[in-house]
Amino acid sequence: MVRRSSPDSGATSKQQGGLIVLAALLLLVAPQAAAGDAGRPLLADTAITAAPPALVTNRRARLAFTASHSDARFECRINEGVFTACRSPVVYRKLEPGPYRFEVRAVSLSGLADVIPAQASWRVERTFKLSAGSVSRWAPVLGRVVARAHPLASSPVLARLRPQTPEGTTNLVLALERFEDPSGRLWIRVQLPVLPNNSTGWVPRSALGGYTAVGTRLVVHRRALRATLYRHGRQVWRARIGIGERRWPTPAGEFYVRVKLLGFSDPFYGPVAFGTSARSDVLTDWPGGGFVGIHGTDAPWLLPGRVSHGCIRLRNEDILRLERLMPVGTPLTIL
Amino acid sequence: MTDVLTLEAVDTDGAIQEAADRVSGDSRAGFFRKGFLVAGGTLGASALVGAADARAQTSTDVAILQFAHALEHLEAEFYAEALRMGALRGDVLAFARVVAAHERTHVKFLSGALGSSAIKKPRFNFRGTTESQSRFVATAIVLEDTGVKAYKGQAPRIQTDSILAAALSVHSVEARHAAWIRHIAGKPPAPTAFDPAASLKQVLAAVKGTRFLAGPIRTVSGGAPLFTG
Ligand SMILES: [Fe+2]
Ligand SMILES: [Fe+2]
Repeated sequence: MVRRSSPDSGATSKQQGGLIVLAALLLLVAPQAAAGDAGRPLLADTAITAAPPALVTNRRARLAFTASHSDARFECRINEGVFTACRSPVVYRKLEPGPYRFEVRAVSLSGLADVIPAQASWRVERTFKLSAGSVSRWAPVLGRVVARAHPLASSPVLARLRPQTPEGTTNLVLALERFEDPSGRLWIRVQLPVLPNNSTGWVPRSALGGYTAVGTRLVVHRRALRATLYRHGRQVWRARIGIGERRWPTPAGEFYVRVKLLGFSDPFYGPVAFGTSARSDVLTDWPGGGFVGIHGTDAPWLLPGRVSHGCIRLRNEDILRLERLMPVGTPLTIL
Repeated sequence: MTDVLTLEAVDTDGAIQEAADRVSGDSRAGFFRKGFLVAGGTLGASALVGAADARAQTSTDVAILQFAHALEHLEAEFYAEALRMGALRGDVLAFARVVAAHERTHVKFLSGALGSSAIKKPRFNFRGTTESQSRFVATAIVLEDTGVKAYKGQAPRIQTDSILAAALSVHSVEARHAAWIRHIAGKPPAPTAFDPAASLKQVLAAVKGTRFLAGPIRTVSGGAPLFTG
């Protein structure tokens, strides 16, 4: 964090501004002279404790800050705007691509603002949405690769991806957005089939194969015990379902269909089973990793209801119809 | 962007190699099983678009058209994806829009000419070349130059006049594409007085070098579910 040394130009009153200049002079000439009766400085010192890195693709920015006086209040501004009262943390959402500078100053009980606001600068980079509206894209994972928190080779590793699923099929990921870094390297943010659910991470473009577009989306309403398939925004299939018992809840979030199983001989799962990228938050030691499936049943009288270990259970006639309508790679939203 | 196209790279599922082998008269059985699947039916049983002597076409002509069809699929999908990927700007975008429509028309024309012997669109992985302007330009030059040389190389071997006429009308358009994108890239649009033809082998090497033909993807299994149930 770089601290700006130019005098403050914020929206303080003239009187307060004068006091600040005076206090600043006192600080510069004889720091101890600015101390109050209790021996603590009149002015609180401001520090930023959390800020975005210099280059981000995330349009959400979270900034946390503290003051040397625990009873200080804060004033914040972004991109040379007006200082307004704020509290740590401050979260900005939907920031447009471009440069940002955040400044915060502590205002001590005496009403004096820190002369030199603490400052953080970053840049929101433009990305291209690969899945938007009713069209989503998935791509196969070509080899072992790590997914990172940011599109940066030094960024923390969030997950390790393999080219195959536990079922032995080609592993695939939903491609969300693309970023070309300053050196021309392409990165793709993908939905990750890992815990915690709803994780996304960045992988190099070269780790993925070609894209396949899908226009379908499956939406599961847990409270209504109902699943609906949309194609280009229009409902094409709907069924009542079984979901996880309360102790083994079906997780909520954004996922995708990763594999389709046909021709197996386990009547418990019915005639067709889809594997998804969602995982049980509780049954993590389940064989195969506890992935949530969408499948048929040999006990249709239990449906609809909260009856499963987390899977989405359908009557066999419903899963057979779904099998014809829903391609692998379809995004899955569980509400 | 020399890393995008290397001639030593492999044709991951051998599809274009097999299409080329067929043109050379080496009809390997694997041809129909791999990436470029013939839509069905037998060679020579198709109707050539607008040609009165469609029945006169020989198996050599069909094989040549199939190879051309494979290349046109590659070009057409390359431009179509580049337009969807939102990375092109200015002159390059204008070029891509026009050429995408031409390539679509070439594919359609050859599908009609080949009828039941048409080549099915294979699965491609464009490896990011459709997702950045500079990679797109470098790749478009290679694809168009290759297309020009490929048509030229096969023209003398075409046995049916109407097919030769059709191939030449595509050939000159490919040459215009090549000159246009070379001009955009700041390269000489017409570098020589005589264009060399490329042998099948050379065309194959160029296509192989792109590594755009993706291997098979398996998303369906017969295994027992391991899901939470
Ligand atoms: Fe063409
Ligand atoms: Fe062309």
